[in-house]
Amino acid sequence: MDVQKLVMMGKQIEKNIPDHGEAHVKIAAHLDSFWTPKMRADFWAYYNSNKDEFPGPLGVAIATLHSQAKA
Amino acid sequence: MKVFVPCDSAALSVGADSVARAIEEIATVKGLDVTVVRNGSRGMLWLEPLVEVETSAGRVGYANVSANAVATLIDSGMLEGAQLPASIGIVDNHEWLTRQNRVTFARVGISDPQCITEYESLGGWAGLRKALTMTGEDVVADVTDSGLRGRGGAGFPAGIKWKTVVNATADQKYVCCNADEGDSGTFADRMLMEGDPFTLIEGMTIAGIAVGATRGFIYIRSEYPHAITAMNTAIAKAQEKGFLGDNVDGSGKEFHLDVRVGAGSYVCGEETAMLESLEGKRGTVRPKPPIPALVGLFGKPTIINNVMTLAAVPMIMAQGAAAYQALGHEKSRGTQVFQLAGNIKQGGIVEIDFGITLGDLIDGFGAGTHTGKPIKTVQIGGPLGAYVGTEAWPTPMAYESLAATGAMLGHGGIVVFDDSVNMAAQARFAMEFCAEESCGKCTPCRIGSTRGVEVIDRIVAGDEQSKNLELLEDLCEVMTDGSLCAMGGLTPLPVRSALKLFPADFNIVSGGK
Amino acid sequence: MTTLSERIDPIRPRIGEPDYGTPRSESDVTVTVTIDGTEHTVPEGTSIMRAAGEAGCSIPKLCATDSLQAFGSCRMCLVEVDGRRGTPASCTTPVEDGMVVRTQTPKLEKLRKGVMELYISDHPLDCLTCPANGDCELQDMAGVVGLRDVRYGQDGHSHLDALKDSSNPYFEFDGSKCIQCSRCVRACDEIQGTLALTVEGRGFNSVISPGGLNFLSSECVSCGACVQACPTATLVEKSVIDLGTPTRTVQTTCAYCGVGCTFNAELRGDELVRMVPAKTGGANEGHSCVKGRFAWGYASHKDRVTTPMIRESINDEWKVVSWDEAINYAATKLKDIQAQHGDNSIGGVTSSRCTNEEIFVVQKMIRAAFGNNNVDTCARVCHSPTGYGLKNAFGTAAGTQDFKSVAKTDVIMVIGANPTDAHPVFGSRMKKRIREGAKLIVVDPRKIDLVESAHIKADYHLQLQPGTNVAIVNALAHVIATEGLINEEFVSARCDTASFNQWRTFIELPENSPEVVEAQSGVPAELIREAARMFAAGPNSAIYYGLGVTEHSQGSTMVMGMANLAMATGNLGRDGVGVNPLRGQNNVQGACDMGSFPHELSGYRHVSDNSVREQFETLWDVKLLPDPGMRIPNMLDGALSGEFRAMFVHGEDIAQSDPNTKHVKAALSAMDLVIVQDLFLNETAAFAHVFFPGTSFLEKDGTFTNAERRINRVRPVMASRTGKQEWEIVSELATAMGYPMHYDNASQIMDEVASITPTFTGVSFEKLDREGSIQWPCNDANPQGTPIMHVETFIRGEGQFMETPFVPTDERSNRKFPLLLTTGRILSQYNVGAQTRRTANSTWHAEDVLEIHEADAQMRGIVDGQQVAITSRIGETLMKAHVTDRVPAGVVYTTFHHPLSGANVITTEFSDWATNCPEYKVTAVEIRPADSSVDSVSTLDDVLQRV
Repeated sequence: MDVQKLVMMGKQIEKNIPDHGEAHVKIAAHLDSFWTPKMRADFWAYYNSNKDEFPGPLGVAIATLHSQAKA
Repeated sequence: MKVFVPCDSAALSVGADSVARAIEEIATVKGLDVTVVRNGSRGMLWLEPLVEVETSAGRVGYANVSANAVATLIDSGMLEGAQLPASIGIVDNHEWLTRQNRVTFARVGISDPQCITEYESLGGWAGLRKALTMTGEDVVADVTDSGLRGRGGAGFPAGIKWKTVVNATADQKYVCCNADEGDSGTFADRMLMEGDPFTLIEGMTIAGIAVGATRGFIYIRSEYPHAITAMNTAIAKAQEKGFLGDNVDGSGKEFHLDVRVGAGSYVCGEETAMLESLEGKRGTVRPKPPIPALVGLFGKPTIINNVMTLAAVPMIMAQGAAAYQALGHEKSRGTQVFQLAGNIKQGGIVEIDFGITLGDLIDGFGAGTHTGKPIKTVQIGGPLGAYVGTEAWPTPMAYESLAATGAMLGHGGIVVFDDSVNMAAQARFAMEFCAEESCGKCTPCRIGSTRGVEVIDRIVAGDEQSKNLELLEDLCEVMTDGSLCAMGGLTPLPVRSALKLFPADFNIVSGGK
Repeated sequence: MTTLSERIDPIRPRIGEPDYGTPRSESDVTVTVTIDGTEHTVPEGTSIMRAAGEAGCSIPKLCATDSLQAFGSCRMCLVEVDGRRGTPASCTTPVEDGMVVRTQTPKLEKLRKGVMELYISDHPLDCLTCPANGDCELQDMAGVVGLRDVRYGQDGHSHLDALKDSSNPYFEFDGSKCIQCSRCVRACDEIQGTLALTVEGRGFNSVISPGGLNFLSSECVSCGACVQACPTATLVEKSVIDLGTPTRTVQTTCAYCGVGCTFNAELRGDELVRMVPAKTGGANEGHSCVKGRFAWGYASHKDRVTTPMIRESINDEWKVVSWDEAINYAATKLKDIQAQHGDNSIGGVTSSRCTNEEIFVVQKMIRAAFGNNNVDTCARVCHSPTGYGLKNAFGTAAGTQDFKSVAKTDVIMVIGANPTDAHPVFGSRMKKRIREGAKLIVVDPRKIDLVESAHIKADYHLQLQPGTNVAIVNALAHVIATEGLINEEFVSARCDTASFNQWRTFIELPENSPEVVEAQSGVPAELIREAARMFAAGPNSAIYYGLGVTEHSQGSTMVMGMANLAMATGNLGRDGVGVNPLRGQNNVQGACDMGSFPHELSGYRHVSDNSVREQFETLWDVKLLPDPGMRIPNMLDGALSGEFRAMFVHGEDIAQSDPNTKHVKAALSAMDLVIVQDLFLNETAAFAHVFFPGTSFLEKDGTFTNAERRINRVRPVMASRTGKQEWEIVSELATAMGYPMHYDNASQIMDEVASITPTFTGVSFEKLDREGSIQWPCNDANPQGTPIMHVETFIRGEGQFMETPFVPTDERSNRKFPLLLTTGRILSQYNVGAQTRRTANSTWHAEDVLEIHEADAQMRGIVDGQQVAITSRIGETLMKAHVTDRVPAGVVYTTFHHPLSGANVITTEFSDWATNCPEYKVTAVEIRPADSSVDSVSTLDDVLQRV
């Protein structure tokens, strides 16, 4: 899949989950529940070399998923 | 000086307006101090236009006054009450009136119908004021005790109907006055509405206050333009004076009244068809049950009464149930406003206790036929009423006694025919009328009336007469017992009575062929 | 004398359902009445007619039928009642305790015969050649009353010369046979609520009239209620005239929308003559619409493909092959692709048009035989946000009520749904309730019929800009929260306190106030406030919604916003309330229930749940993947990037129905193998290599689950025209791929579903056949099913409030594309039109048109009926313009039933943030008059030649 599309999807999810300090957990759970492993892996790969693009909870979420070996 | 020229449609139809204008013009020219009052009609219709002049001895009447004759009459001393060929003397002393017992029509012909203060001075609003001091249940009890029965034709006790409505629980209740006076030979409702509209308003307001209905409608046929205007004008005045509205005569109780105009359908005088029409629908009959007292206008508990019923209520409230109950005959209490019409010499309104004989009405009040020929038959109770011959003259005019002879009182209209009438044609007309006016909902009325015309034609033509006579009898049975409402149910009444009384008019050959 | 009355029972027609003449009384109080000497106890309010019918002493009748209120016009049903004068009509007279009724006396017999004699004196004597011969109540009653002679003759006034009206494609009106019972008029009024028919004239001259010229040009919506109600051949299906009266029935379920109407398919021999809605149908209770009632002819349309076909390349001609060859070809290809590109390189979609059993088998094939979770369903593009939102809020991915519930609703809020067009049978229920006095709030950019039509007027129409649903629902909730209208008792007893408190803080923010939202949505703040107060006042307020809610970038947020509103006002867990999706297709609910989503197994259980997965692994004897598979858009994107190579498309036309057609077609073209299983060579089949012919609903054996979770039986009315059931083909494909799958019949599949799905454990064909239908959950806790959910507690325990910030879509009108296009449906057509376009329904809607406001039209020099070009940043299509005030200025609207108009050529790739449900309802477009040289008039023939 085109990784830019994954980025767009991720950012849309981030915008729609209000952040009271726990949004990264909800975003991670969402990606875990609905994204295929390959989508998560591709996204992580992109994130890893473009971290500046993800200053919010989305970046924290994908990093968390990766650390749990889910991405 | 007051001069009275009726504004009633019956008087207008014979030139009362131009008479009134002529009197005013001549008085102006002559500088006379004349006030023309447009009163209702006294109900002596053969005398219209009946001009009355106020004198110290009372109101002197001049009959059949034409506009052309006004100048001569005035020159001859009419305004002074002079004895002239046209004069009938003091109107109140006229035997036609002195023999009557005007209760509902007490003010009709006497007062200015649109003068609300005169209405009050003649005893108006007394009934309403009394009712406002009572509970609804007590008002209903008084109406019940008075023995007042529905004047529309069925004769159902008004108090029982009201009691059903007062006991019903609903967010809205209605009072509907059936003023769709469509029967041939009837005009009492019209004359009351034109001649004393506040009485009807008062009666309906009492009904509304009694049962908790805050809205009322008067359903008037479009053929009554003057009655419609009279009622609308009177309603506006009553509202202005606080007898209608959010706070009826300062009581804190609410009653609003509106006129609704029919569209020319006879069957809309049937109460449920009238409700449909009031709701803006086609005027077709509803089955009962549910009765309108429980499920009526817009599905709410509704009092439906005729003009004459509701107009009797103010007197009952003002003078007490016993006063009304004291009048009448057997189970028919109070007075009945009879209407004499058709081929009759002295037609008009006769309000008198139930129990007067038919013969007395026709011969005594009516003085025989207009043509002078012998009476052949009279039809009582409208186009769906039975024909009776002179053998019925001794019958007391009351619900039960008439029913016992196979006739019915209906709305109290009596139409007289002389011996030139062909009763087969009248029987055919009854079926034709039904075919014309049937709402078309139920089969016996819708198809039966059309077949009735065809079968009578075959009988008269001598076509398989005995077979068709049997068929007509079967048809009458199906219509009588099978119809949804009185329209189809009563149509056989004139047919059967005509056939029974005057078989010769049907070219009946003995034994048939 | 032996009369026909001993052979004909007026209650039970020759075929079809019994008719007790008047509706059942709902009273709990009973009364005892003596009818013809025998005592019977019935609910208070029961008519004498019904009481007698139920007791077996049937009374003759013509104007009475138990789907309509008593009318009392025919006078055939007269009876005698002790102590009462005359002969009251038994239909309009309720029984009273102690009443003694006689239904058969010499007097009554004579009366009934006399009435019948009148009827027949104005009726043609052509029974032997009449299409209703043998299925005519007038004929039956003439027999019952023993009429032998019409003494009036036939020469009198009559209606024998009345003209026929054949304008409707499906039925005919023959006025000469009319008996003026008004059943048609009353059915149109009481059942359908269109009030298209009336009686004109009076007395003998009364005639039934559709108003105006004829039925076709009238307000008539061709629901068939009048035809069904007619006791004679006056209103009769043309199929009955052509084929003769039916002789037997098979009860089954309609395959159009999510209402799921039960029909009696009436056959003559093996030929289907007509479909008649069943009074026993739980969803429809005897009503129908123009689609289910009449538009079933596509099942035998000449375009049906009934043999399997294969081809190497999509440029080749199709080759008709045997089932074995087709299945083996497909299996080999699929395995080859997996060998070359990995297990994850293939997948498939299940179809909401198919039965639960077919769907279950397809997703099983994908998970077990394909060995991955790359299964998705067309609910992806319609109601996936419903599942997501309601599951989060309440714990169940389904609507909360049964359809009947609306009869107890005081305030109905319709959001982004057009029930009178898209769910007409439910729309009629709703209209009936509104006519009874329920309040109505419509939230829709377009003036749908419910906003104002015969005897219906919305109290509030919140005519919002497309894409601002969430802003509006937040503003409604804001009013309720800030004006002290929250049902604190309900919230504290039933909902999660922490989430509620967090939500309350959020919703009370000024950004959610009507005054702020007015600028975003275009809806005056005061209207929002008044509507919110009305909704909160209830006492029973219910939300009904459709794709106008879900098909947005915030579809899931909106579903949660509505759930918040319902919880905050305490409108859940009883009759008359709830949050109710109106499902687009017949089995969207079932497709979701059966485990069609890539992340869920049947019963909405996540694939990552080890204990659930282990149950399936044991039952299926296969290892299942614990991670979600691809959604449809992922598959299409994957095809373009080369990672996804083959797709099994079950009964869905993604090339037409999915957004951004160009992108979809490119993706399909990129795949090595596309397998299509369908009735017709649809748009997607143009890109297919294997075509498995499918079965129509008339051939299927199985179940559909409607929008109220009602599982209805689908029974084969005719033999499969392909020789196989679809689940057989799928099983054989799985087997050919090396995973043996076999079922003897569809019932076994449902047994398997029941064995492994907690909400279905009590479901079986045997029970469905016995009960008629069942609403899941049906298990040990709810053996009779669950009409209303969340009665005591929510399925998830406590109701969960969710914060729902309004995030405007990125699809916005701008200088280049200044108008917003939104889409919907029309009554006579269905979805991509594959079925309805192959029926006479095209009489009403031969092409899609673009609705445009007069101001927008004028500005662009567009007149009504003119061909226009619609351009979005994605593509361009052509359509005729219809200038109307149904849409506000700035908004244009069209339907998507015709492939040539190609509404999805212009829809974009934007989708719901949570579920990727496409944002069909908002596309920025520009409209201009089309070049007159472009001949783009689409006719049915063009379309059919092309497919």
